[in-house]
Order: sequence, then C-alpha cells, then structure tokens
Amino acid sequence: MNQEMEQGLKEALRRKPAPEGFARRVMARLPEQAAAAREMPRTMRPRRAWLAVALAAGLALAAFGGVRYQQYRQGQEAKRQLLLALRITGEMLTLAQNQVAGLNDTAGVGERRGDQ
Amino acid sequence: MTQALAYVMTAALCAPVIWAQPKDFDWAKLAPKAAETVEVNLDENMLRMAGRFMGGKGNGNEEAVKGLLKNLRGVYVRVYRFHAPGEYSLSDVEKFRSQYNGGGWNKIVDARSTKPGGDNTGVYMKTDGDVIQGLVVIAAQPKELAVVNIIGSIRPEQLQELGGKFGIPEINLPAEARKHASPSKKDEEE
Repeated sequence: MNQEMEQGLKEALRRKPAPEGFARRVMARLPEQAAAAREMPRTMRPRRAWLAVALAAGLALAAFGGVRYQQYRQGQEAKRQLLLALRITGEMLTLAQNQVAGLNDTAGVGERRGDQ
Repeated sequence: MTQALAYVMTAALCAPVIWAQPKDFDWAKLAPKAAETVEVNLDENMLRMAGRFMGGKGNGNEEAVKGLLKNLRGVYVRVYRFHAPGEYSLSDVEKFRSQYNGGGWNKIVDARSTKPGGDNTGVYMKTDGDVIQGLVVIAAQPKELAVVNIIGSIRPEQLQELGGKFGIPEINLPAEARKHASPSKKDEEE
C-alpha cells in the first residue's frame, strides 16, 4: 500500500521537460501583461482628474454660495437697520414738528391775550 | 518717510469715521442706566449693501430711500430709554448740541421746554449751496434721549420725497427748491 503510494508520488513529481516553445510563449506574453498593467492607470487617470475637477468645482460653488449667503444676510441686516433708523428719524422729526407747533400755538394765544 | 506717509494715510482714512460718530457725549456711560437701547451704525459700505436690497419699482417707500442712499456716507442713531427721568444730564445734552452751533451747521429747529419734564428737540443741518451735507436730530425727553446723525449729500427734493414715508412728516420746500423736485412728485402735487 505504502509502496504503491510512493510509486504514484514519484511518478507524479517526476521532472518532465517543458513543452516545445513554452519559454518563448511565456516571454512573449510578459510584455503584453506589463503593457496592460501600465495601461490601467491611464484609464483610471481621466476618471480621477474628473473627480478632482468636480470636487474642486463643488468646493468653489459651496464657497461662492457661502459668501453670497453671508452678503445676503449682511445686506438684509443693513436694510433692517436703515429702515429702523428712518423710522426713528421720522418719530423724532414729528416730535420736533409737534413741539414747534405747540410753541407757535402758545405764542398765538399769548399774542391774542396781548391784543385784548 | 514711508512710515510718516502711512500715518498720514491712516489718519486720513480714520477722519471720516471719527467725524461720523456723535462727539462730546459719553454714550457708554448711559448704556448701563438705560432700560432699552437702540444703536444703529451704518457706514458707507453698509449703506451700499442695504441699497442693493431695497425694493425697486413698485415699492415707493424703499425706492425713495434707494435714491437717497447713493450719496450718503453714514447713518448713526442712538436711542436710550430709561425707567425714570433724570438718568442723563441736560447740561451734557447742551454741550453736545453746542457743537452744531456754527461750523457750517444751521439750526433748523431748536425747541426747548422750561417746564419740568418738558421735551427739548433740535434739528441741525449742514449745507453746501442747495445740497444738504449732514443732518442731526436731537430729542431729549425726560425718559428718553435720542440722536440721529445722517452724513452725506441729500438734495432737498430727496428729503421732500421722504415726507409721509417712515413716519417722516411732510416737508414743504420753498418754491425755489421745488423747481428741482422730481417730475413724479410734481405731477402728484398738480
């Protein structure tokens, strides 16, 4: 039994000469594989470049949008403050006008009293 | 030499800002005593920014302001409301008002009440020919002190256009100034 197995293994592992042209075929295929390996990054490169461009464009858009939004908020706040300032100015001018009108009325009454 | 030039340029740049702020009054002293405070500080850049967001045609109020903003250099407002009278000194207010006596400033309204608890109001205008270069309104009431300082060129007809808007009273210009008023306003009057 052991002898049969040993014999089988020896038969299977016996050194055999390489088939005719094996080395040539191997050597011929090597440059093809190397070329294919070199080509892979080339196909990947445009994709990566587009990805980088898209990422940069996205970032630029986000930054631009952020700046615009900031400007919008500042502008709205400035407008709100300006309208508030105008309303306060209006109130103050009305107060001044009323006070002048009141003084004129008082002066008028005084003058009329003086006439009598 | 370069350093001296830099100092001069810095001073020149800072000058309008310093001039723009209401002077001779310790506003910081009033703030802690006030129950309510309103401060508006709009420099030229902020006014330009606000102008971009002011409504165009169709919004008459904002349209009138948009035209006015083009030549304004600053709008500054201080309002302090107090719980009780006597929180600020009237002599401080007088000192503040005195800076608008002369120096190209015209006293338009100077209403003073001698009654206790009376109001004191003042409207001062700086003019250059027909053009208003600055407007200061001061209202000192027992429980409220308010100052408005508007700097920049305002044509009288622009001021008239603002009359009746934002609570600003109607302004009746003399006939000479009315000649320059905008056609739309003239049409309305006719």
